[in-house]
Amino acid sequence: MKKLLFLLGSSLIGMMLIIGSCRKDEVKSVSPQFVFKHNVDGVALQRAVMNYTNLAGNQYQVDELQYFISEITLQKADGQLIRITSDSSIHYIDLDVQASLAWNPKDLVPAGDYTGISFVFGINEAKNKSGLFVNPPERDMFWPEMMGGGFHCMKMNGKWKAMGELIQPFNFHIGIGMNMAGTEFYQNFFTVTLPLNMQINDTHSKIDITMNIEKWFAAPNLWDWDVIGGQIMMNQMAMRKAAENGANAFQVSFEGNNPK
Amino acid sequence: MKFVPVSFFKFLPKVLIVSMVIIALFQFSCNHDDTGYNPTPYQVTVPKFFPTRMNIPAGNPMTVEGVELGRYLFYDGRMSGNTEPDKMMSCGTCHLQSSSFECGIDHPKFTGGRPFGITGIVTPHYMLPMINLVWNETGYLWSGSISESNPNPSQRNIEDIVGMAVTAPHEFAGDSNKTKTLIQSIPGYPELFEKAFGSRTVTMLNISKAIAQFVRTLISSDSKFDKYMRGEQQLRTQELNGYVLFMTEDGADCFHCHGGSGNPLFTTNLFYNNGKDSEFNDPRDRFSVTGDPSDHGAYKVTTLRNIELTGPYMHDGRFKTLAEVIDFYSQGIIWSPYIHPLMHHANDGGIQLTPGEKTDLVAFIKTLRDDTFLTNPAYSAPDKLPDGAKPVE
Repeated sequence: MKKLLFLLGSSLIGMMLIIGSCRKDEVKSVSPQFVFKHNVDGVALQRAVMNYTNLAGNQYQVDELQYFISEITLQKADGQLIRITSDSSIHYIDLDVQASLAWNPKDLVPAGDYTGISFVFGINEAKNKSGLFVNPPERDMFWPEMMGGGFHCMKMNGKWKAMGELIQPFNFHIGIGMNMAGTEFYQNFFTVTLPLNMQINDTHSKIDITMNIEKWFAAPNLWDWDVIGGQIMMNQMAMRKAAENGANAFQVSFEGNNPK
Repeated sequence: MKFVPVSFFKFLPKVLIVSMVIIALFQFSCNHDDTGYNPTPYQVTVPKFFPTRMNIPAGNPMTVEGVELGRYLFYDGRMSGNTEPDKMMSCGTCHLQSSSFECGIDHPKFTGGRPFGITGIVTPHYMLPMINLVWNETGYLWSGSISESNPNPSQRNIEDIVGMAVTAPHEFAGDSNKTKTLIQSIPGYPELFEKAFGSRTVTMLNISKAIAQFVRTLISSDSKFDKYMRGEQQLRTQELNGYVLFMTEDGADCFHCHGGSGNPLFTTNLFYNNGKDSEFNDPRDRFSVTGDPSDHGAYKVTTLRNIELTGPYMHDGRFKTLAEVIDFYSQGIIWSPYIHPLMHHANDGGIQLTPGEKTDLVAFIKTLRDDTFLTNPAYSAPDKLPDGAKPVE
C-alpha cells in the first residue's frame, strides 16, 4: 500500500512538473483576420462614377470587382511559413458581397513577429479546376471549359471614355489564356509577396490587404483601353500584361505593434 | 460512516434492468407525437453539377405530405375563395407545366402571353418561369423585391408570394379569410393539413407553406444539354457551334449572365440593365428595390431552360420569339448610362451576329428544352382534388 501511494504521489508531481514546463514554452495561437480594401491611388474606390484617369489618359469608372485570393502564407521572423488552409485556402472577394470583404479563416496562427506575407492572386493551377465551386457567388466566376476551364482570377467591370468621348464598357477579366488555335493554355494567376513587419498577438491580428486599382493600368505595361480594347479574356497577351501589372497592385498594412 | 447493506448489491442488476426498461419506454413515447403528426422529410436530389446549397426556409422544411398538399392547392381553383366556375382561379391557371410554368404566348385566354387576374386586371409584368427556384437566393420577381432583405417580413419568400397572389387585384383578387374558410370546408383537406402540418385547421400560412414546398420541387435537369454534360448524348454540329458562341466573349457572350457548363441553372439570378431602353420609369425595376442609380432599368436574368416555350420575352414581353430576342442582342441594343458593362457591344448596337450564327445560337438554346420536366407527372395537375373535384388549370 505504501508503495502504491508513493507511485501515485510521484506520478502526480511528475505530471504537474511536465504541465508547468509546457506552459512556460507555450506559444499562443491567434485567429487572424484579413480585410480587403480597394482604392485608387490611396483614395477609397467610388463605384460607377467616372472619377479616375489612368496613366495612359483614359478616364474610367469601376462598377463591379470580383476576384479570388488564395494560399495566403505568413512568414515568421524565424523563417517559419504559416499557410492559411481553411476553405481550401481560397477566398472570394466581391464588392457586392459585404461579408466577402473580411475573411476570418478557421486557422489559428502562432503569436509572434512576422516579416512577410504572400498570396496567390486567383487560384493556382492545381486547384483551378471546373466544378471546384457549384454555389454562388463563387460559381459565377466559372471560366469556359473550352478556354481552359476553372474560374476567373478576377472580373473587373466598368466603363472608360474612349476617343471622341464615347463611353465604352470594359470587362477586365483574367483567367486561363489560350493560343489562337485553342490548343495551348496558359496560367495567369500570380503570386504576390510583400513585407509585413507585424507582431501578431491577441489584440492585433487584423491584416489589411489593399488593392490599388490604378496599378493594374500603370506598370510595367501602360494600359490604354483605346489600344487594347475593352475585352481581354480571349487575348492572352493582354491578360499576361494585366497580370504583370497586378503584381504591383497590392499592399498590406495592419494596426498594432512592429516586431520587437 | 454508513454502510450500504449487502442486500442492495444483490438486487442491483435487477434494479438497473428495470430502470433501463422504464427509460427506454419513456424515450419511445417521447419520439412519437400523440397527435400522430409524423411527416416524412422530402429529400431534394441535387442533380450533377447543380448547387448543393438550397433556399429552403428553416420555418418550412419540405415534407412528402407538405409537397402533396401543395400540389393539390396549386391546382385548386377554389384558392380564389370562390366556387362559381367563372370566379375560380388557381396557380395552375397561369403557370402551365407545358409552358415551363408560364402561361405561354399561345395561351387561349391570356392572349399574347399576358396574364390577368379574375377581375381582368393585367399583371404589372410578364411572367417568369418557375424552374429550379429552390436554388434562387437573390429574390423573386423581375426586381427581386421579394427577398430576405425586404424590410417587410411578409414579402420575403415564395410563401409570401402565395399569400400576395390570393389578394392581389391582378391575380385572385380575393380575401385570405374567405380562401382558408373555403379550403377548410372541402372534404379531404383537413386530413391533408393534419398530415402536413399537424393540425386540421387550415391557415393561410400553412396554405402558403404547402404551395411553396411544391414549387421548390420543380426541378429541371434533364435537357439535351444536361445529357451532353453528363456524357449521355452528343450535340449536333450546329448546336455545338451555338454553344461556342454562347460561351465566348468574342462570340455572343451569353455565359457571363446566363451561365453554362459551370452554372447549369442558366441564370446567375442577378440583375442587369441589358440595353432595352434609354429612359427608365418602371416603378418595379431593380432600382425600385436598391435605390442604386446603376440599377435603373435592371431586371432579373431569366433562366434559359425551356426558353423556347416561355415567350413573350423580357419583363414587358416586347419580344415575341427567340429570333426577335437574338436580333435584339445582335443589332438592337440601346446605349444608356445605366447599361451594364457586360453589354460590351452596346455602342455597336449589339454583338453583330451573322444569320448563320443566329441560327446556330438558337439551335444551342433549344438544347435547353427539358421534356422530362415538362411532362413530369409529379409536377402536373392531379386527376382529382381531395374531394374528388376537378383541378382548375
